[in-house]
Amino acid sequence: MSVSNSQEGGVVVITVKGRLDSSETQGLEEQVLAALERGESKLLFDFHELEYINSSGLRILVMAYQRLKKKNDGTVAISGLRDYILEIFEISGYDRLFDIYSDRQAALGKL
Amino acid sequence: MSPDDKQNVRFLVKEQKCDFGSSAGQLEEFARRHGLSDRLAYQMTLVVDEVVTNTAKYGYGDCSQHCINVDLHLEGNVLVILIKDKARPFDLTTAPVPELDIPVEQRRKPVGGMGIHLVRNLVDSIEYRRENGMNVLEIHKTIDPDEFVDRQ
Repeated sequence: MSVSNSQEGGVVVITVKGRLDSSETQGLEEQVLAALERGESKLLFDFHELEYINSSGLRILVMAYQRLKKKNDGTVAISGLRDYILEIFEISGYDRLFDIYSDRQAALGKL
Repeated sequence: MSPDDKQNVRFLVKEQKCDFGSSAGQLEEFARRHGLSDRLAYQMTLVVDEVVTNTAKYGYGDCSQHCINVDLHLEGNVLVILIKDKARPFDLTTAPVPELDIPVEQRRKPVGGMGIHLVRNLVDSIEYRRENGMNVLEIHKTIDPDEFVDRQ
């Protein structure tokens, strides 16, 4: 897995490529925590290159949502999910928690 | 069924952790060999991942090395996954479900039990039995004909 981030307008975009599973959550968690410390309030996970996520990966996203909401009264959005990964968000009910967009541009236009 | 139709994948556990990713390729190989769609390959891998990770995390309470055995095969259009381990008894079929009807902000455990919830919702049946000191989980998933894309 690789994680990178960029600032686009007032939005922190975190791009994840590859597998997001139990052994790969640390790098993502660090970037989320760093954004929180900087006082960021809008976070977008760009997942167009995400191939795999399990419940440990989902846990990091929920953690980001809870902390951003509590600390900075912020928003967490997700873009670019493959259909079969979107299904997992639907089964878990997290599709109702996050604002989900088809791609990065659509998300940035709304955030 | 030829012996090649069966696949055995072994996951090693140490210090209540399992490096699932290093053996995940064998699951992908099984999916490729049987022409399963990307969606099916993902779901199959996720089911095995959640069970194996759960066993590693909660089933073994020491730092020794342990093995979790996963056997996969197809019976017609039914995917059969057999998972065996020598961890403490744990019946996944009776584990509590997440508080899905409560907003995440108000849940006592916002993500607790989500892995098991995913497993239950991705397959058709799960049977648990304790056999010769082992946990045995037998999972069946019927595959829609459209989900076979290109058998090798």
